[in-house]
Amino acid sequence: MKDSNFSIPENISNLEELAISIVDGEVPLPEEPSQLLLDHIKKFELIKKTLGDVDLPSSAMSDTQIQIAVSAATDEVIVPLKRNRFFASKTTGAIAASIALLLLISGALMTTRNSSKTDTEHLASITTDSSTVSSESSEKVIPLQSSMDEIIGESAESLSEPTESGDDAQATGGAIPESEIDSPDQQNLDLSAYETQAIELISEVLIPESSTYSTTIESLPCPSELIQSILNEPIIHSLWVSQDSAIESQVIAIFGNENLLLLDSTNCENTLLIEGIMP
Amino acid sequence: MSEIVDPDNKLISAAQNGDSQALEILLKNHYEKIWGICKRLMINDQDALDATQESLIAIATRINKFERRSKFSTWLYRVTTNICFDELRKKSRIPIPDSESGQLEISIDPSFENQIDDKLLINEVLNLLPNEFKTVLVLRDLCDLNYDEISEILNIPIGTVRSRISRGRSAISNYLTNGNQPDSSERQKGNYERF
Repeated sequence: MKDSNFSIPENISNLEELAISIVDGEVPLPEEPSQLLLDHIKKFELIKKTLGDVDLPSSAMSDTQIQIAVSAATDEVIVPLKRNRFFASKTTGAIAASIALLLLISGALMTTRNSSKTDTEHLASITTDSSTVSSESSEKVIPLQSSMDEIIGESAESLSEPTESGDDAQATGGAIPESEIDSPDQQNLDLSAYETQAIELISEVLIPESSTYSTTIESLPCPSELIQSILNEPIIHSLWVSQDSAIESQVIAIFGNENLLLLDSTNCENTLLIEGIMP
Repeated sequence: MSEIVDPDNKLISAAQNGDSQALEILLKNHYEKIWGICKRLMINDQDALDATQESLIAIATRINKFERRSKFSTWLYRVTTNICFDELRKKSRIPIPDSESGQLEISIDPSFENQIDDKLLINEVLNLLPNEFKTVLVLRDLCDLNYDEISEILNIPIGTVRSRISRGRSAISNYLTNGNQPDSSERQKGNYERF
C-alpha cells in the first residue's frame, strides 16, 4: 500500500524526540512542560496505546492453534489441511482423512451415477469371457448359488459353487443369461443405496484375516473381462455387499487396487464405479 | 554466557522434558503477543492466523533448542518475527488497502484523538510503514520490549532501534494529524525521504 502523502521523516524535532522519550519512560516529564510538548506526548501515547491494543481471535481459535502446536511437538505427525493449517494429532488427522475419503467417495458417486449407464452401454459390447481371480474365503461366505436362486431362480444355475477353503481357487465367471442382460422390463437396482455398506467393506478387504466376510466371491455372475473393463483394473477382491436379505445379496462390491465397483448381479449392465477410494 | 532468570523457567524445563501440559501453558501465556505481532505485521487476519500457527508450531517443536541465553519471550518474539518476515517474503506482498481507490480514506479531523481511536485506521496507517519501522514499533508498543531487547531480536544497533521508533511514530502522528505535511515551524532538520 502506497500513499503519496505518507513519508518517513529522516529526522524528527527535538520536541518530538523528548516527547517519545517521556512516553517510553526514559525521561521524566519536565516540571513546567510546554503545551506543545504535552500535545506531542498525548499523540504518541495514543499511538502507543492503539498499536498495543490488538483484538484477539476467538478462544476456540487460539485453543485450537495451541493444541495443534502441542500435538506437532509431541505426536510428530502433522496432517496439512488447507493453507497452512494442521491437524492436531494422529487421531484428528485420521478422522479428517476419513471424512475427506467419504467426501471424495460421495463426489465420485455423484459423477459415476450419471455416467455409469453410458459406460455399461459401451462396455456391453465387449465379448464375455471368463478370467481368473484369486480368492480367500471364510465360513461366512454367502453361498452364491443359493442366494442367486432366491433372486433370479434359474439363472443361478449358470453360477459355479462357492468353495469353503478358497485357497488359490480358480473361479470362473459364468456366461450371463441373455435374459439378465437384455430384459427390457428389468428395472435397474439403485446401487447408490449400497454405497455406505460397500465403503464399510473396505476394511474387510484391507484386513482379510479379521474379516467376517469372504474376501472373494468364487464365481462372479458377470464376465470378469466386462467387470475389469468397467473397474479399469484387475479384480482383487469381491464381496457381497450384504447378507441380511436375499434381495440385498444382489449387489457385489468388486475391489481393484484403487477403484470400487458396485455390481448388480442380476443385471451386469447395472454398475456403479467409485474411483480412487482404495488407500 | 550466563543463564537468564526467566519467569517461565520451570515451564520451559518441563516442556523441554516433554511435558505437553507445560508446553501448552507456555504457549497460552504468550499467545496474545504472538498473535499481536503476526496481526500487526501480516496485513490481514488470515495471513496473521497462518503466521501465528506456524510460529506456535515452530516454538513448540524447537523449544529444546532454546538455550536460555535470552529471555524466553525474546527468543519467542524472534522466532515469530522471523516467521512473519519469511511469510512476507514468500508472498512478496505489498499491503493492499481495503478501499478500492488504493488510497487510504483518511479524513483530516481537527481532533487527533477522534482519529486515532479508530483502530482500523491505525492498522491501515501502520501498514503504510516499511516493515523495518513497523516491526520495531510492534515490538516496542505491543510487546513492551525495551530497546535492548528489540536490538537483540532484530540484530540491529540500539541507535537504529531508537531512530526507527521515533521516526515511525512521528510519521504516523504527522500523517494522522495533517496528512503528513511537515510542520516547518518545528522541523528544523526536516529532510523527508519519500517512498
